[in-house]
Amino acid sequence: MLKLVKKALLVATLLLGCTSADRIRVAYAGGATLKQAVTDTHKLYDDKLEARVTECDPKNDPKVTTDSQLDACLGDRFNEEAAIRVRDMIVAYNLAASAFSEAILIGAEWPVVQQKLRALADAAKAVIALVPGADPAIVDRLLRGAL
Amino acid sequence: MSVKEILIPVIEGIVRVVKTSREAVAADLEEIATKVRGGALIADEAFQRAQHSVDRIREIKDRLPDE
Repeated sequence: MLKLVKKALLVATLLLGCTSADRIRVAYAGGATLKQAVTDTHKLYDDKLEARVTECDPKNDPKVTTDSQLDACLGDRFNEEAAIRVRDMIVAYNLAASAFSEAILIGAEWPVVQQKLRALADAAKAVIALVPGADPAIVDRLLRGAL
Repeated sequence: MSVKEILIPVIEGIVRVVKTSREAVAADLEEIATKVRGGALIADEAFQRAQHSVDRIREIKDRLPDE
């Protein structure tokens, strides 16, 4: 009976000690996968924007003769305002990624790491939502089990 | 067996397990730190790429006459 109690205590300690570290490892892996998805999605946006800008360049489209005509040609998702929005969301995402990584580095407890991961997920969704054809729901799928 | 004789080995076992877990986590953190340093470079590249797109549009607008 006493041997059983000893074993149970040891197992409980192992589980307690491992669970938090494992969750953080899974969260880190989720964050890394998310970073790749955001990077790929941003590149997709960038390629589309580059193509649209080339198309609307007055050198290639003589109908574009004013700033407003250029913005109209580029469209709501690729005009200057949209490009600035994407840039700012990318910066916000990278700040959230730094905060998340830092939380892990300093050995923060799971609730703190979880909070930073949630903020990272929100920032990732904000970027992906700005890219035509990209679905922010992918963030939840990539982080399933991590949050 | 006294309660003390039972508890001491258990406590020693707990301390060993916690120490081992911490060492394992510390090794993981070192690996993460290396990746974070690399990540900082990637963040800067992402910003540069995004800013380049904005600059491209502004460069074209600079060439167009004022409205």
